[in-house]
Amino acid sequence: MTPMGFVADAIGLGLFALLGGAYGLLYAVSELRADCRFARLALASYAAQSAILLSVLAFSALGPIWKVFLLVSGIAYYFIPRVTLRYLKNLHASGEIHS
Amino acid sequence: MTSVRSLYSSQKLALRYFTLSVALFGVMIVFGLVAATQYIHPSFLFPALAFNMVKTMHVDVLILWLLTAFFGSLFWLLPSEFKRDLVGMRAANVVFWLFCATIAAVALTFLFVQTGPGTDKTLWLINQGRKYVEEPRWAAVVVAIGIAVFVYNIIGTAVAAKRVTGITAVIILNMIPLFGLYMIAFPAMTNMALDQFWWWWLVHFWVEATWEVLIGAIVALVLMRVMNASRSVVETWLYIEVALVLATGVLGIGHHYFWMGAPKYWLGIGGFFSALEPLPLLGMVIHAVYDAGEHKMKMTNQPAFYWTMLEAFGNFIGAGVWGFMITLPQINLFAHGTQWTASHGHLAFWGAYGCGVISVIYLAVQEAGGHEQIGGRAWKWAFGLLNTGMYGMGGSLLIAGMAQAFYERAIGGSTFNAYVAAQQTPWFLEGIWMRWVFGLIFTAGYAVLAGNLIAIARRSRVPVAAGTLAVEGAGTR
Amino acid sequence: MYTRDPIFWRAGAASSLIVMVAILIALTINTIGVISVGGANVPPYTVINQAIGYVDDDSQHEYVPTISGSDPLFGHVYDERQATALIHEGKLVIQSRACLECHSVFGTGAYFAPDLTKSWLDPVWRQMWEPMTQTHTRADAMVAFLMHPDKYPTWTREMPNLHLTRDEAQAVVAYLKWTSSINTNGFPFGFQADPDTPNGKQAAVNR
Repeated sequence: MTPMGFVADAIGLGLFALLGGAYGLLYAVSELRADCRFARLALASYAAQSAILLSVLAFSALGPIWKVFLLVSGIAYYFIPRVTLRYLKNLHASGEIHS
Repeated sequence: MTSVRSLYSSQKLALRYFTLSVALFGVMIVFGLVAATQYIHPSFLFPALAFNMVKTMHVDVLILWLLTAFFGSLFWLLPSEFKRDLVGMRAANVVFWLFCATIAAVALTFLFVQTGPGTDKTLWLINQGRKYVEEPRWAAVVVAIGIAVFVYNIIGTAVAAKRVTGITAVIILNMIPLFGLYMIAFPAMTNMALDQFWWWWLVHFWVEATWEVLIGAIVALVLMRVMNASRSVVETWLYIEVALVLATGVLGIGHHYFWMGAPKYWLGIGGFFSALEPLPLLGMVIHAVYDAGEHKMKMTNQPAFYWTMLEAFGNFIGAGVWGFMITLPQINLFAHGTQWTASHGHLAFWGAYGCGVISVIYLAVQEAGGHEQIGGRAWKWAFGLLNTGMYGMGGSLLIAGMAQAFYERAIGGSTFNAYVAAQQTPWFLEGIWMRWVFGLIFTAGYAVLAGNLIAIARRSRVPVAAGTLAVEGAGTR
Repeated sequence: MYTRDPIFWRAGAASSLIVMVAILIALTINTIGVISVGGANVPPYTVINQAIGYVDDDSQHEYVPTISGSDPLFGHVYDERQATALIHEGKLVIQSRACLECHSVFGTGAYFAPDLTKSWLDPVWRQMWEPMTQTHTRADAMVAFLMHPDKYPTWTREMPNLHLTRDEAQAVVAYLKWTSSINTNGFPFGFQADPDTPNGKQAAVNR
């Protein structure tokens, strides 16, 4: 891995995780407030995250296994906020019935 | 600290622990500032107090302020879980004063004796020289006894109360490895590879497993208090959290085994499991947003609430994002052991533990004083300054660390000359300067935080009838 | 639904703990064998009698330590018992002087001073310290520096005088020589080592 390559990869991976977090945050806010502006921002974050992911996959010197791992986790990032939020809503709904 | 409400005796002790913890937080900051200054002016306090002892104080007190705050948190929260006072409180009080005396004695030793000849006697009496567990062995024995008594307080109470909730069961089971792992604080193995292998069991499994579970349980108890969250929901969530922490964190220890002589398979295992760690943290962020949306209106303790929320975000940023940057072995080869690691360490400790602990302390001062509402402006200043300072320091150290990794590690080949050259590059120097400035901002935030906590605690000495009036008092509206 | 039942997740937490710890224990047993003295990655302490290097191994795409011919330390050949005692003392000195509160070994420690993993092989001993301390081998230069770092300031950050005796300084040097022989999966990357030269040539290279 070249010196510039490793710095670029590290920044790329940091942005990847950061944008994934931003997407999750904005998605949750948009759902709770039923506000489509946040939904658009959330989607934009995920699009940016995917763009970063694609450039890492295209240009990085990381091995193929790590790239597959990144691709899978990039897809997972899309679903985690949705699944978590739906689960939380159901959980709280059932919790309120029990308590 | 006396209070107007009748407190369980363990809660009185909790307030003492919180006082000690906040004081130690300040001591940690002082030594952090000195260390930051020495990066800029190496002659500062040299050679009377060289960097090695300043740094020792900084990281040891870090562990202590968090550990004492954990003790305080459980002493504060558990009586209502067990519906009774904790057992063995006389011993626990003795332990508290023993801790205070030991901390003072060790600090004096570190500041004035510092080091000794290369013998076992030095390790027993002066300095063990192992990161995070530098305290001489006699002091480590005291800490071990203290933890053992603490374990007894909790398990003994569960037995006496004949009542174990899901949360207390998690806490009790977690106490066993917490105590057991501390035994690694004692040996001085000749072989550095073996020494570091086991040392990481202590450091990693404390910080990324047992503490993680403990703070999860503490936050669960806080959520039930601050937001009236239902027990079954909170417990379900805690189990999920514990399952995910253990699923990723146990083998995540492998990311410490890349470069210390261990076999190559750790590169794959450690890289994989630690790269998974941001995913559960993302789930925690979603949960925080959900709670914020659901419960914002019912909130009676703004600072406790916001510090709890920040714990989720801070953990994602510090452990998740910063960790993900450097955890793959190809990148870690360059970033490991530079200011980049220091940047990650600062943000991760702050997000995962600092914020959570401050939240519990706010909860305790509210409940101790019987305040119906905690709010005002001071806590917001503390919140803003502390976080500006911390994330500023994290960003500055990141820049310095990237410069170091690039010039020293990737280009320079990590020799002495490469190290010195990298430390003198403009990027590095600017990062180190900025860290110092943000350190001052952090310090200002601490001053406001401590002042605010003291002000709230003072008001609680006013008779109960004034409790509601006090809410209208200076700085709280 | 079962996913909303705490018991389901409690079982999940317990089973992930059991599975992960079981794997960890298995890997630990294997790793201990590799990193024990004399294991695949960690040479015996008597390696201090030999010439050590650090080279880029093309077949593995990483830097690996090399051990070749004899190169006695301080002119002695240490038997196993002596070498173990010396290295043990070195470790005690490193702990008792809080070395790793400024330096690091394997990248673990503090970052105020250089990493010591391969410091034995650092060309700077020959280039800078041998002339400065008026010694003729790097081992002697290291001993002279460790005993009186205040006499040989190198840059703005000075090392404090930690009052090492000659025996202690020699033990630390032995420790660092042994450390440099450990296979660390290519860490540090690109380190341009100044390798030991086996006995015959040493006189010429070391004057």
